[in-house]
Amino acid sequence: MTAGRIAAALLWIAGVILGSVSERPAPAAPRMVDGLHVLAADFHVHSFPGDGALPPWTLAREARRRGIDVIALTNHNHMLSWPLARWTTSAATGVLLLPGQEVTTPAYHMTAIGITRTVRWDVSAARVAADVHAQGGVAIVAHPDERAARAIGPAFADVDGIETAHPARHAALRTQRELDAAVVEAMTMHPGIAQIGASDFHYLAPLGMCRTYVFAREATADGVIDAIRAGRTVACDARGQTYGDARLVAVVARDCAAASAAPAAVQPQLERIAIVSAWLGALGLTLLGPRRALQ
Amino acid sequence: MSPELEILRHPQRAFARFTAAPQRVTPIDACYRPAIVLVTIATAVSIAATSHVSVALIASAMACWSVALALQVGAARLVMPASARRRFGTARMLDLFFTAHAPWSLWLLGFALWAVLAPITGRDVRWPLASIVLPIAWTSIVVFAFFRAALAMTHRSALRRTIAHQALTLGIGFGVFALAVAIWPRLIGTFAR
Repeated sequence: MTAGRIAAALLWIAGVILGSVSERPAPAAPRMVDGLHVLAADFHVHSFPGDGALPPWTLAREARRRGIDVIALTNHNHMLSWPLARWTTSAATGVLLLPGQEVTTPAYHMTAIGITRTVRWDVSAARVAADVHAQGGVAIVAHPDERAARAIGPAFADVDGIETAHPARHAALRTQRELDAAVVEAMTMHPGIAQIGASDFHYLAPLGMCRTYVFAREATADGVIDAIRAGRTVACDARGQTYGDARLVAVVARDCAAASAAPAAVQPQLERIAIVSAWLGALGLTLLGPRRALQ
Repeated sequence: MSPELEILRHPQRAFARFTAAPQRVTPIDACYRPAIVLVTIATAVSIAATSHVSVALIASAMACWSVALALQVGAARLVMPASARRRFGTARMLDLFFTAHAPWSLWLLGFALWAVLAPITGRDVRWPLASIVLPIAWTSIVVFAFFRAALAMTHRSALRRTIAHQALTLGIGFGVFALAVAIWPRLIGTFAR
């Protein structure tokens, strides 16, 4: 039994060390096109404390590993993780973190990015958007369905973006249709609306599964928010499909296709061995507990 | 066979057997099983959330999710009879009690495995999440067996303490989750349909 436990512990340690060795950040080289920084962003990320599995400092590392330059922390109706992000995450990670909230109302969800305090959820979409704008942020309609589109209605004209690329796009056919219909309605009411791709990350990999390419004048929070307001974004889904202005799409279409196809690890084989080893080790440690000595 | 496997197979018989003879458990010994639970939680979280493991990830997940472990230790202390009414000390009690964590640990590892094996697009998380009833039911059985066989309580008393323990841990767990997902507007939305 002791031998089994030692073997399990060694297996787990080997897995974790192997995983650490194979960990390499994706190259951080934001491109410049016509004087604009091209940044990969995930504007809908849940974090700990909240209903996300990972704390902000780990999310920043994971974003770097996935080739994401910007993430917004958007928990449901609270911003508890933002102070934690400010205290624990340094600029050295090379990832820009933005404060945010997923304004969760009975009928629709809206991500508020670049805000300084929480936004009320028991008001209309127009008032949510107005409050977000008053705080200097941007309001993005999150994973809209038919009901959300009905509730938002004319307020599509007031919001800055819509999550055109969201994991829901790859779910049931009905969900896809409702999302498409909402996007069409939003674009009719607000032709310049920013096309946003976001993973709505909670506890299942990968972060940045759907992402946004932002064309920002400066690689800062203000630069990113300004780009969303101006609609200089391209949404990229998990199948490498892009959505947005054709000229901007032409710049990032290849990056989007590559991001959807490429594994995060530089050495995926090593990564797989690390996961299997750590998983088996943890299983062994769980099942092979020690017997205590008789007195 | 290890204590965990014996308890998974036949909890009442296993607990009765483990407590038939006195065993020496130091406070350091008593930390082993909770520490393994934390290792398991951190490994499962890292694999499910990033498809990756590393020292930094595991350390970070352990730091965050030690809250869940603290909740379990706190709940165990609250529902245990006072030490004067127990056949053994706190260290031994916690060590024995944490052998009952295997159903949850197995579920967490199973969920992590599903997360890496399922295709990333079109994943339906409802069934894996619905399977949470398995560790809930299994743990209830094991915890009842602990009170009944290890602490030699009456059927009624063991049942009462099992219900109290499960209500406490699951109540706090689901309560925190409900707050985290903003359950109130969702409920309003559901009933307003």
